[in-house]
Amino acid sequence: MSSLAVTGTVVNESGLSVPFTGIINTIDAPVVNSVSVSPDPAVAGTLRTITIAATDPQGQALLYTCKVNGVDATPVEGQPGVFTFTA
Amino acid sequence: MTAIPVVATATNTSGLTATSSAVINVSSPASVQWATIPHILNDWSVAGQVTFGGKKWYVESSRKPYAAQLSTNTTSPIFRGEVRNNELWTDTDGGNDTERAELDGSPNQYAKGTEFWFAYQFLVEPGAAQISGTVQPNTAGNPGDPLEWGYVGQIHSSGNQAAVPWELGIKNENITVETQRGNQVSTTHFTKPLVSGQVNDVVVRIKITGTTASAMTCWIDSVQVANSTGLTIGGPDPFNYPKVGIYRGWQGDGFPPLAVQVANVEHGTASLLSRVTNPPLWPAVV
Repeated sequence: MSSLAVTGTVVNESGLSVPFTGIINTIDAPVVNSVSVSPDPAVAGTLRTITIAATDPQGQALLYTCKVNGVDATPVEGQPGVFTFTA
Repeated sequence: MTAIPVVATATNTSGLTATSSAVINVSSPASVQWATIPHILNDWSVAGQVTFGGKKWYVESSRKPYAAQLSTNTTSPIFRGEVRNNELWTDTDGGNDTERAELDGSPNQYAKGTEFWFAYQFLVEPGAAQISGTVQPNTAGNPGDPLEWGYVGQIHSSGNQAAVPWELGIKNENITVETQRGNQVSTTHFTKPLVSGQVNDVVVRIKITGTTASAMTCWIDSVQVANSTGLTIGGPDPFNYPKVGIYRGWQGDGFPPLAVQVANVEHGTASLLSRVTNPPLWPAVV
């Protein structure tokens, strides 16, 4: 979450004014810190494990997807961000 | 090395997404490395022998770099023999002007009447069908014909007749098990389709007498495919010895290149029956 400070002034026709302040809150996108493949390199036909390390600034839960050459990798049950693929 | 793209995304509960990319690197499978066997010109002394499968062999080939090779990075050696059109094991090389790439096991010979065992594994490398071409320095063949003969393992006699009492053929894209008697009179005991690239496991028990007291039993891929008794095998020659590799003909008939690989060769008077039920593994790259 990012916050932006807002300040301003309200002035009436008589020239009297009052200042005010506020905050704009912005929900930020997650950040993917790394994508690792193991084993790599390896000969064709090897089962690889792909691990996505990501964080969310707001601490929200993350949903991961992974495509290898346009094909969905297989998520490992119980391990968010971990996939397998044979290549 | 081939790089395959990976696209990873992480989406939070607010629906915002982050994307990152990576690659999967696919390396080439480890390949067998080959070294040419020194082939000393017409040398039938100990110096001209090569060790393979614990036994000594002479080399019979065209002496081209690819003609006779041994693997250098496998769990046990693989022999690779390759023949090409009209590249001959010549008279000058001690040969008979034929297309051969063989290991000749004559340093270890078996007297006529001795029962002995011969076991080996082979594969025929994938390649063009063995059909005679149109360029034929030798006029014996006909364009479009299959091999007149092709042998990937022999038990050869040693003597004046120099016949081949046992041979494993690869004619007409088939594997054959044959014996000969007298002046190269052949009997085919077994035929099955040849699958290139596939390892074939061969075990033979043979007694060559030149009479009907001969016997031959052969197993291929752990299955008994021949059991000959009462049939004459061999002739007057006093000794016999195994050969492995490739011998085909007619030479110069325009056949495409042909390569075979042979491994796990054993021969001797001790039983090799255990290899029928427990064939060795084809050598792996290390």
